[in-house]
Formats: sequence, C-alpha cells, structure tokens
Amino acid sequence: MDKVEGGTAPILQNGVSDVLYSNPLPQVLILTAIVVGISTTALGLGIVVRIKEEYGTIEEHEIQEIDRQ
Amino acid sequence: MTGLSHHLPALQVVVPMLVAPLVILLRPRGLAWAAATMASLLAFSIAIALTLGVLDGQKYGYLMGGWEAPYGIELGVDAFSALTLLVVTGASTLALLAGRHSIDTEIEPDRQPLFYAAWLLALAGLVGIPVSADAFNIFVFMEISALSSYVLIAGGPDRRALPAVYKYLIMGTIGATFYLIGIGLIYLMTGTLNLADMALRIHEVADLKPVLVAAAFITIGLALKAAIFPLHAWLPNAYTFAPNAVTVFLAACSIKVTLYLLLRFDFVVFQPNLIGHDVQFAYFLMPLAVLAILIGSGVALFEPNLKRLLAYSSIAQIGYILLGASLVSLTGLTASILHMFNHALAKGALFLAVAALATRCSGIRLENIAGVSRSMPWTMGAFVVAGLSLIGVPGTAGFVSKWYLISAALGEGLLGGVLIAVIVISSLMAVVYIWRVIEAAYFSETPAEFAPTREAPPALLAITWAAALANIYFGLVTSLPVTLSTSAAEQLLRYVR
Repeated sequence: MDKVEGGTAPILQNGVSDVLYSNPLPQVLILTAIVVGISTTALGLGIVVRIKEEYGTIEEHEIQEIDRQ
Repeated sequence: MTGLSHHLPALQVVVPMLVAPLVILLRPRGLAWAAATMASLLAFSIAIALTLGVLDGQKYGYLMGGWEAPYGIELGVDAFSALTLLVVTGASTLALLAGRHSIDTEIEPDRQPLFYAAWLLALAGLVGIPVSADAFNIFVFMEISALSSYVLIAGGPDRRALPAVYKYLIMGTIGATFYLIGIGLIYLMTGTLNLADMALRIHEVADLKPVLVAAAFITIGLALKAAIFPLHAWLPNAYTFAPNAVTVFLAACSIKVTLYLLLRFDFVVFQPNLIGHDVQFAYFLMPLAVLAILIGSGVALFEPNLKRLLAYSSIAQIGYILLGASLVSLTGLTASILHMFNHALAKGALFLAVAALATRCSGIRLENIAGVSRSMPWTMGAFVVAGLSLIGVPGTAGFVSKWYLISAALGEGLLGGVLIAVIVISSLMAVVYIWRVIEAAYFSETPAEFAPTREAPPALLAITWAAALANIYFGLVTSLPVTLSTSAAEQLLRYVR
C-alpha cells in the first residue's frame, strides 16, 4: 500500500511532474497510532503505580479482597 | 458565509484545546476554574451559533490548512453533529458551573489546574469527534478524550476509582484499536479517510470481505466504547467512583458521542453498500438493545449506591437509543437521536442532584440519604423532576423520546408489539428504582448521627434546578430537539434504499 518499488519521498518540486513516489499517508497514520499507544501505555502504567500506592499491591484478587472489606 | 462564522467548526475544537495548557499556569485559587468555565461557555456559545446556523439551512464545511478534501482533513457540521455538540458543551458548562464546590472538596488545590486542563482536553476531544469528517482524525480525538477522561475519573479521592479506571483504560484501548483496524482496512480498500468520500467509493468494493471485516471491527470497537450490553462492564464502576462533577460531565455526553459515531458509520459509510447489512446492524444490535434495556433496569432495581443505580439506568437508556436506530426507519432513528438529547438532560440533572446530596450527606448509598428531604427539600425536588423525565412521564423531555420510540415500534407489526412491551416493562422498572430513592429520602426516619443540616451550595442547587427545569421545558416545547433529530435522521437515511 505505501512503499512503491523505486519510489522516492513525496515532495512537490517546480517543474518536476512525473516522479515515482511512495504514499506518505500510511506512515503518518502508523506514527500517530504509535504516539497514541505510547501515551496510553504511560497512563496505564501511571495508574498501576497509583494502585500500588493506594492498595500496596497490584494483584487483582488482593485488590478485590481489600475492596470487599 | 463570511468572517468568523466560517471558522466556527474549527474554533469549536481549538478554543478548549488552547485554553487547556494555559489553565495549568493559573495557580491562584479559583482562576483555573474561572478560565476553564469561560472556555467551556465559549464552546457552548459556538455550539449554539452552529446549531442556529444549521437550523437556518447553512452548510458548514472547513478545510484544515486549506488542503482540499479528501486529501486534507475536512471539518463539517450538520444537524446530527450540531445536536451532539450542544449536548457535550452544555453538559461540560453546567458541570463546571455547578461543580466548583464539589471539585474543591474532592481534588487537592495544587492539582486543580491539572484537573481543569484534563477536563478541557476531554471537552476538546469530545467536540472534535462530531466536528470532524475524517475517520483518522476522529480516532485521534477519540483517544484525546479517552485519555483525559481516564485522568478525570482517577482524579478523585476514592481509591476504588483506580482499578475501575484501569479496566476502563484497557477496554477503551481495545475499542479504539478495533476502530483503528477497521479504518485501516477501509483505507486499504477505498484509499480515502474522508467519511463522505468513503461512502461514495465503498460501492465498488462493498461485496469484498475486508469491508465486511472492517464493519465488524468498527461496530464492535465502538460498541465497547459506548458500553453497549454486554460490553458495558467498565461503565458502572468508572461512573460510581469518579468525582461527582466528572460523573455529571461524562455520564451526560461521552457515551452519546460514541453512539453518534457508531450511527454515522453504520448508516452513512456501511448502510447503503453492504450486502446483508441488516444482519450486521439491525439483527445484531436489536437483541443487544432489548437485553441492555431489561438487564440495565433490572440491576438498577437492586442497587443501593445512587451513582451506580443511575449508571445501570444509563446502560438501559443506551439500549433505547440503539433500539430506535436498529429499526432503520425515519421515526426510529429520530426517536433514537432525540433520546440522546433527552437522556443527557435527565441523567445530567440526576447526577447534579446526586452531586448536591454528596456535598452534605455522609455518602450516596440509600441508607445515607434516609430522610434527607427534610433538610434538603430543593435538591430532592430537582431529583424527583429529573427522575420523572427519566421514567418518561408526560410533560417531561423523557416522554417525548419514548413517544417517538413507541410510534416507531408501532410501525413494525408483531415485533413492534414485543418491543413496546419491553419499553413499558423497563419504564415500570424505572418507576420502581426512582421510587426507592424517593422512599428513602422522603419516607424514612433520619438517623441521628449523620443527618445533613443544610441545603446544598447555592450555585450547585441553582444549576441542578436549571437542568431539571430544562427537562420540563423540552418536554413542552419540543421543536428544537425534534427538528434537529428529524433532519439528522433524514441525513443518515439518505443512502438507505
């Protein structure tokens, strides 16, 4: 979908029209998705740290045990 | 269309998003709140201006950075998005105006600027979804709103919010990833990310497997994020343990935005093109809607915690919205979109009343509010009015959407009869669970040790009543939401043969 055999970077130039270039969009999408994934992971780990601070454990059944009391 | 009004769709997102980092710098007490409230009010006025424009027959399209659609990112506002924008910005503004006292008691002062910044980012993400006409852009806004909602929910003093929000994060991320996989598949098949362009180009490839798979991924992913039964497991705890103001904001609008997106995809992108689409949408979602209505209301009957009771009732109300849409008829879809608006009004007012109770009572379980009507008659009054709207008593907003829903079911023959029975049974259950609260508040003895002595803070009380009266107003003067929903339903159904 993205990489075209022998294709170059999609940059517009005056006077050059028939350049074989790769589709930049999939890369942009994947990069954005990676950034989103990193921030989600960071936030998830942050919440795990907070859970450890509050409950003293990160074992799910122990947390449920503590909440039941 | 000249000057500022042309830029309104972009400003709708840009205003809260730009004010969010500024808010972090506002350290002195109250300033962060004031700035966030102003930004939210401004967003609300933009939404009102857009709605008036849409009612006037104006078409809003905006090319970000001047790149032509479908190459650049296009923003657009039609009747459906205008209605969703009204709900989102209205809920945020009311929750901020009312919530200052409640947020002061629940969030430490030095963390408040960050809290308000996360609030504005959530608002920016939630308004971004209805405004955007680009599928990938919508994914980014979805994640902005989701990540900041997790922060908001986990921000409160209740530590049980943390495991709840972790569950929400995992499920929300799975939902968003499914959506992204679906988008990827469609992009592969059609070569476009613009929703309108997608709807046109998908004709050529409609009978190919990847499009079917994409439809399944997007429907399931969004169903997870919209807490459609049986994918609702994250919702009750997340709403119960969140700070009260956050519950008001998110319960009123975050689900509605995802449902908006689900309807937009299933009706505009997939509906006209897929072979056997009715199998994928109507036959698949209708049983889930019926189960959501019955089980959501059923669990709410036995729930002693007020916030969780209302959260389960929300799951049932999501069922109503889906039920109307799964009839794939003009009346059904109108009922469904109308119910998004009316349920936001009712649930917003109810959660505001609960927030008011929480400021004075020792807790929000039924035993904590025993006899509370004696010391807080106004708060309970607003709760009763909003509760009547949730049940669907004539003269309130809830009645209007149920009326439309039942008239849509009437056109469906035998199946419609069954659906009407489901709606009536669920409404009766709503009578019972609202009555349990009323019984506790009005007809129980006040336990001596934790009797609240004062009414809720005046600002909170005033906003709660404003929301409760809005339920009556939109129950009697129905033209605005009905006009918007009807034209939204017509637009959604324009491709349906």
